[in-house]
Amino acid sequence: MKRYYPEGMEHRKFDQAVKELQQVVGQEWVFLDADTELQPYLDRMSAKPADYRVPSVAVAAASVEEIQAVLKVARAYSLPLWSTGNGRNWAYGGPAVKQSGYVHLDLKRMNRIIEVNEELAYAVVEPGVSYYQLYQYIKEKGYKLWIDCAAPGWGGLIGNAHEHGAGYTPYGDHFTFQNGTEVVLSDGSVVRTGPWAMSGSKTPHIVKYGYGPYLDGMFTQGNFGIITKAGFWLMPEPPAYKPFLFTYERDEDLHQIMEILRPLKINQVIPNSPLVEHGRYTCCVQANREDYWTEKTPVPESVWQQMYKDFDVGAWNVYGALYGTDETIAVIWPMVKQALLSIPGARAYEQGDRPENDVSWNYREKLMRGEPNMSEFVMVNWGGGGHLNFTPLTPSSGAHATTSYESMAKIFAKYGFDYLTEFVAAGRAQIHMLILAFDPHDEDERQRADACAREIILEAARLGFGELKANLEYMDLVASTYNNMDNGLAKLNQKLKDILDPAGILSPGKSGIWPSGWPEDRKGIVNSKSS
Amino acid sequence: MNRAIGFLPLTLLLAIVGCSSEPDEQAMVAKRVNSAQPRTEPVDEQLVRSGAQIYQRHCQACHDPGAGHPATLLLGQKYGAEKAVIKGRKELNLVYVKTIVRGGLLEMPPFRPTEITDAELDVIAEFIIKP
Repeated sequence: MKRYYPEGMEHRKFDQAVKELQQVVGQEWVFLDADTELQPYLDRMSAKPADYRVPSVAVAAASVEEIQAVLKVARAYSLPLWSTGNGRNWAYGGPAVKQSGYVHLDLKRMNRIIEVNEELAYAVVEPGVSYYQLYQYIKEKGYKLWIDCAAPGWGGLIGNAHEHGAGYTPYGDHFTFQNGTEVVLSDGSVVRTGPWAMSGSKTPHIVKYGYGPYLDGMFTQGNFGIITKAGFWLMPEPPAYKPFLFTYERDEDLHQIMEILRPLKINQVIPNSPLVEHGRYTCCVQANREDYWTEKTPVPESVWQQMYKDFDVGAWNVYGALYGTDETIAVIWPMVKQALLSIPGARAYEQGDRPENDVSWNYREKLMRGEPNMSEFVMVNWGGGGHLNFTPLTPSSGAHATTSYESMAKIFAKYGFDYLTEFVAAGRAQIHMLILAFDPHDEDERQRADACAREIILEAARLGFGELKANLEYMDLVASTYNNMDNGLAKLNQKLKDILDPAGILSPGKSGIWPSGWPEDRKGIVNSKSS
Repeated sequence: MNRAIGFLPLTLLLAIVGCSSEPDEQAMVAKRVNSAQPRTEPVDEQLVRSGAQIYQRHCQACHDPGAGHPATLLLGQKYGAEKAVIKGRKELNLVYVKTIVRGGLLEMPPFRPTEITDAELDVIAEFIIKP
């Protein structure tokens, strides 16, 4: 049985810690064998090989009490814990730990839907609850409520929202619609935030701010505590829903598209965040690359143009939706249609206009009304299974969108990858979503993908476009770009880390935040020796 | 325990019967309430989901027939249209299905015992191979 160990820890001491962990959660919920049991905890989709980040052990806790007991063991033995809920955050590391030898704290067994309140439209869930689980539960019960899910629906509400994830209904900014967090701190104490901090509160999940500092945000993308419950607002099912698609013929139309969308979005004429999807993206979620291009080199423009014809899509494709009543939509739709059709060559599509087998329309139409699906995961097949995602944030303007689009295009071309991209028109800012698809079994491709990733992050930062998320490999790099006021944010995070987790046991290195006590050379070590 | 079931020889696999359970669809315990008062109720840890329930939760979004299902598309591309859909495929057997669920294949990641328990692994494998 192949085993990994926490860096610098005596094997005998670690084995004793494992025995104590087994006593906490039961032997059947402690996984040790790297060749078998720990394989599901590896990331096979990033630029580093799967065996680059292997946990020493995975421990599956089923309750707050078990987490508290695990923390007690971790403090006693200085075990670095890396916690995940559903473990489906592919492109950013999936279920993998930051460094080999960490202890993976798997929270998937904590899969209770604590409450669904139809009248006040919210749910309270544990970290293991997936979008599918909540969606199917609401359907079974017949509640007139919508969830808002990420594109691959196998992810979870808590993980996605606290990783700054987004969805497709008007409730798409997931953390904005999160309300009330239960957190276990490294010393085992439990905190409930906002109005939930008051014993007997009647408003724990319907008012975001109670009395005192609003602390929920510090538990996103951080390592100051382990989130064990959270509330989420759910959207009441509207009487009317009108999804739409506009297509555009030219790359340069991006500028005007974003100029048109900005006021429509900021003024909340369009309630959800329209997706401005490049045709390459639209095609790769439904086409087989080898049917069009068998070389590993980027698909030539002439071939892309053929795909656009075959799938009847534009160079840019804007998906959005209106929500309300037939009467309100009847007022708003002509305004939206007129604005978005003002670009020469634009075409408009409504429900029923697209072919029945239009994969892209079908899955987007579902997502914009909160029905989870996996269709976008087809994209993973494009490069052979590997993919890294990037999310530079740019101001909502045609000029900034074009600058980001053209700058990133050069980097993808330089490293020889297809440029798969879309903009999420979120309002005052746009998320420029980049998908770097590659073959993870090809060493050359992996190395190029890694170099490409680093250049994307640094070039975006040079332009003033910060990343919203980071793959495990690039957390330190992205953190280093948030360096304003002499690295003021990093220094504050460090102070918080030292106070809240003095033992340095919670997700060391998450978002570039490390325990103070760790020597510099330990922060870059990934390949712990196995035996 | 048969946590490493995807990696054991066939004879051993056939002899093993899953014996663990986990908190099942604890969604079942959540109740419709018409006030803002949060409620929690005990969880039945002995429930094992049916094959249809497991398939619906974990499999169908990728493996159902038709466009828009990533696994169906990829299996069709790699192995031919007749092997694109896994449900009811005649040449599949229990051991193979369980091996893939625990070990992954192509772009399908392995599923952990915390997602599909060992007891449920037997149930879903039988459901998959049943016509």
